[in-house]
Amino acid sequence: MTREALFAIVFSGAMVAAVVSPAFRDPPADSFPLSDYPMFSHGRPSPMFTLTHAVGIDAAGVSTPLAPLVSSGNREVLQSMVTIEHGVHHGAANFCEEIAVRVAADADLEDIVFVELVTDTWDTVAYFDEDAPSQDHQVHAHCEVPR
Amino acid sequence: MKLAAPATRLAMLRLIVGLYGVIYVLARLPHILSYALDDVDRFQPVGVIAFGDAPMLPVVFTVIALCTAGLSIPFFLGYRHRVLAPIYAVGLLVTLTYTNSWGKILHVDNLLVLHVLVLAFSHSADALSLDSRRENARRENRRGKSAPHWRYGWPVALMATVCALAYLLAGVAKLRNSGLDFVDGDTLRNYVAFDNVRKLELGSTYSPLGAALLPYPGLFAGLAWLSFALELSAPVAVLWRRFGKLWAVLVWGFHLGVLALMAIGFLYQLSFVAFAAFFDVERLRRVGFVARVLEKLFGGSEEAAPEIAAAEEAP
Repeated sequence: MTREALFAIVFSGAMVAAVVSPAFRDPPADSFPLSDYPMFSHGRPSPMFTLTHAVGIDAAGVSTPLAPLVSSGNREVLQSMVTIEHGVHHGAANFCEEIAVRVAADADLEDIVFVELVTDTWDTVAYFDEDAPSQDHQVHAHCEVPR
Repeated sequence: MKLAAPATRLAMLRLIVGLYGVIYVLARLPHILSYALDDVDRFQPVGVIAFGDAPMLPVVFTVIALCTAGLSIPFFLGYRHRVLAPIYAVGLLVTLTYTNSWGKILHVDNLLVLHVLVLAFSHSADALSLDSRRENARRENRRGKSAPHWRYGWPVALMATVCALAYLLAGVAKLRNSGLDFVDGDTLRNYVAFDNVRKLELGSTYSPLGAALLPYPGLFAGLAWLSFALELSAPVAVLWRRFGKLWAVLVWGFHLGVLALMAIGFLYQLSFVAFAAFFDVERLRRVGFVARVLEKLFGGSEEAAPEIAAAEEAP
């Protein structure tokens, strides 16, 4: 067997072993780029869903979810979700003011007067049918947009 | 599964994955560089980044990301492949792992990184590359034989295997975590609803189509069975090449469905680059526009290496 053939066998074996390895850990481990691909794999018999998020409130009191780049400084929506959760648990008031500064710098958000960090619970199936309101609404921080 | 393949198939895969890498990394560079953070509290290292317990200095990550972006071009062109391609692969691994080390692991780039690693550590620049063009000029033997060889076949087979395994693991995870509840109950419908509400309430783009179909749970049960069947049949796609082509098209359709119903875009899969290893992609070099570009870039380099390959026996 040539050295090249040996390399091909060892490299291929190592790559395949590495790719399947996350599934054999106890508990299975998600990582990058090796993953057990757990997303959307757990049973979800209930449509209820609780989320902590950032909303902007205009002078009429109407609230609008803030885009990831404004709420967390990151374009990735799931990354922004984690950043918001982290911000709420590590000083919600300060984090709210950080967001308010980004709102103030965004010309498209000039009607936003306040920022709120809130946790809501919805029935996600009914949400689209009836525009159902949040079944549980908890405000963590409320701050004014500096203009 | 046949292991022998022409050098041009592996080289064409390098061109396809390499071009995707150039566009993807350069287009996302501002986003990638936004992870040059020193926020220790938020840092949750994974993969190769977990060897360190603190974030890199922002300037260090910036340099690594910029070098990786720069090296994507010689990888695509097959320039100094033996030296530069492994550096690019490791740079891409480090850069994208770092962007996943801030509390949320995304799964959109896994196959790209794994495929680049395979291509970087194989003879994927023996044809259709600046290296092979230079080699031709030096040897003055531009007319070699394009005999298939295992040297060019094992990386192709490995790329297809790695791709199929990702889907098999996703199917196994569903079986392990929810058994047949995933296909039997309302799980998929609830996931589509949950993910769209999550996106809306986080100020992002959601799928109006997914929302509109929520009153039809039977549809989601059918889709759940289909995705489950595709994931668990992945090993057959590797072992039976003809089925592999059909499987690749169906999985691509599955990703189109995910995009339509959940607004989740797996770009590497949606571009079909992820599934290229299941096909005889060397035929693309005969397509008019592609042929002209390749001739301009690499001259007659496509036949540089196989004469070496043909002289050696398969293991």
